[in-house]
Amino acid sequence: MQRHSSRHHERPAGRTPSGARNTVASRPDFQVVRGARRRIGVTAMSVSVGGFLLFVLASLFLPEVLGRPLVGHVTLGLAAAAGQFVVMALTVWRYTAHMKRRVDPTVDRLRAELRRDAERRTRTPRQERRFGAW
Amino acid sequence: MVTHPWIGRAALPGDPATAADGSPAALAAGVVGGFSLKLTFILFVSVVVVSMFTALITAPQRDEIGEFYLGNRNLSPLRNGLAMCGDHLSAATLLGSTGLIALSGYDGLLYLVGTTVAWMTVLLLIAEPLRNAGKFTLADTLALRLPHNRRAVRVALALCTLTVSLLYLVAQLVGGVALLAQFVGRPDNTTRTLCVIAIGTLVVLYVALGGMPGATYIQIVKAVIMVAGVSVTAALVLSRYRWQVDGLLDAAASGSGVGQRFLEPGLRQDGGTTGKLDFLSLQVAVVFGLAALPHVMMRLLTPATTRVLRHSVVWAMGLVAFVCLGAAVLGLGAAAVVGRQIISGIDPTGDASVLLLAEEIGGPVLTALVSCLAFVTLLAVATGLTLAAASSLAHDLYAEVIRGGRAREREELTAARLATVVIGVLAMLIALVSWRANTATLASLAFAVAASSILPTMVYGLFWRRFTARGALLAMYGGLACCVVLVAFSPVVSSRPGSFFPGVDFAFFPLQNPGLVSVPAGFLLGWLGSVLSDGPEDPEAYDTFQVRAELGADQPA
Repeated sequence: MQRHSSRHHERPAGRTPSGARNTVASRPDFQVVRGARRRIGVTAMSVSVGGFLLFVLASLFLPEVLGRPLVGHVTLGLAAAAGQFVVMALTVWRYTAHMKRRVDPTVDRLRAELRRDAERRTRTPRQERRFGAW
Repeated sequence: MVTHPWIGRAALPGDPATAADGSPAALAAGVVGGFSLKLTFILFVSVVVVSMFTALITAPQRDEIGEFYLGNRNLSPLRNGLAMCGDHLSAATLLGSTGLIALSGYDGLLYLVGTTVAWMTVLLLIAEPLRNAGKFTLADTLALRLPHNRRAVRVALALCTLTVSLLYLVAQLVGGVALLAQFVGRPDNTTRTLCVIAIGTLVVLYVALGGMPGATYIQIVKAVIMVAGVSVTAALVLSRYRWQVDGLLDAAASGSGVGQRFLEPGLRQDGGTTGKLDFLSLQVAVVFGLAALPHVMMRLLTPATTRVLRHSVVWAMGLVAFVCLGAAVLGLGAAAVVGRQIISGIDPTGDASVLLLAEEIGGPVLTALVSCLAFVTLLAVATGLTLAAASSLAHDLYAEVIRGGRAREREELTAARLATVVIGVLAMLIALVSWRANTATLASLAFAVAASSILPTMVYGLFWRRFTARGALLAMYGGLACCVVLVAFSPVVSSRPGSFFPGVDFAFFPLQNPGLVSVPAGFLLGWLGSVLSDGPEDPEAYDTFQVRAELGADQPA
């Protein structure tokens, strides 16, 4: 998987938003985490879900290949089905590791900044909200 | 999806009006013996009584609407994961897919893998941004994303949510009746009506009184019973073959009567290309539709922080995978121990296979446990669905569209409770009218509608800058209409012995499930509508939205 493809970061960065809050959206580090989240999402989805759909297609249209016996009564298709679970476990592991390393630290920092800005801006007591914490 | 509890209920001494309706006679015709029936009844009543009391105790105390919709937002990841796993796996999965394995071997296993893969879509794509940008319902997220047309998109998404929830809810209720028919012979009108009304009333009570806390509680109870029941039964099956997978496969192949072909692809499809495409269509609907079911998506909004959500979803992934692997063992075990001919002789859809297997290897006690599990599963999924539908009706249609966001909390809460009753009664009526319908068909239609209307809208809304309100409306109404039209002209409605109108033939769309066509159509329409819009939506609204979806500014640091 390619980590530093710049394709994702360039597009929206050129925009010049006006509101104070929206400056976050155009910051490079925000664009980086956004790209990182999308990249892992798309890669992992194509591996696990795409892989599964290919497997279904193969089962439907190449039954003689997947019906080939492997060990004892285990056919190639059954092994591949068990392999799907292994692939899913690996995907989840890579996903959580990726999010922890590339996304969470920046997100935490940006969120803290956002909160500080908001506190600075609202000197007056917060207006009454209708729905709890939203 | 178990039904003998209802016979038990009908024969309850404290229920004189129903004790005399002839159900004891019907009881004798059942597959499961009288002792196991009583045990099932006792188990089930204890679960219902205990969870009903807990639902009352944990019910929203201060008339807060947020508590009704989202419940306790500080549950641990494991509990959240159990609840998510409970929402994801319905009785149709537990009984239907094990039956499919027992009857068609390899192809059934493939279906079960699809159920697990479906959770990956939730985990990897939707969960975190949806939670961060969401409020109470899916339409809240979409209204935030497309603020200038929020009423129109709210109405459309509420309509899709209601359609999917009602379809799936009716599938659950009809499933109850279908199992009743398999175990006690064809139930008479009174028994059938009682069965549907009893389940429906329980569900309405849970949701109206308990809201999300009640639904979460019953969902966790169900998930725990499910994990325990499936692992005990699977362990019993495996120990019978000295923990050797090859031994189990050998016995399953010989028990199936078709030998090694049982473990090869192609037993379910009748060879033709139509059968193959139909199976592919079903898989597409399952993989993308299970993830987009409104009650599953609504539960993603409940954790208070993104990190708890991620851990919960990973827990749910593990639990779903574990239950599906266990169910695979159960299906193979049913073919090995009971035999394929006997299972399909009792019920051609195979739904009875787990109960037959439990009776064979664990006697009446295990049968009672599995029956109780199936019933609680049915109840819990129906509860989640009713809550999702009622939230959409009360929050989206009443509070936001009709009252324009000016409804008071107490007013909205009353509306939500009334909406619960409305949804429950509506589902009961539809279930009573269409009790002959096939549960699996209804469920897979719900998946197809969800995958071709809700999923494209949410995915585009969360990730695509140029998505517009016109694209959203076209994806939702178009995806929904595409499903309805394709189903209307499919073998589900006409031309086959099992269809609604077997006598006439206007089925020019050959597939039972529209997913293969309607899911790409939904995505295509969403794209087309956005491209053909006059201009992009307000870019500032998108910036605000993506900051919120990415950072989730509502949570503690």
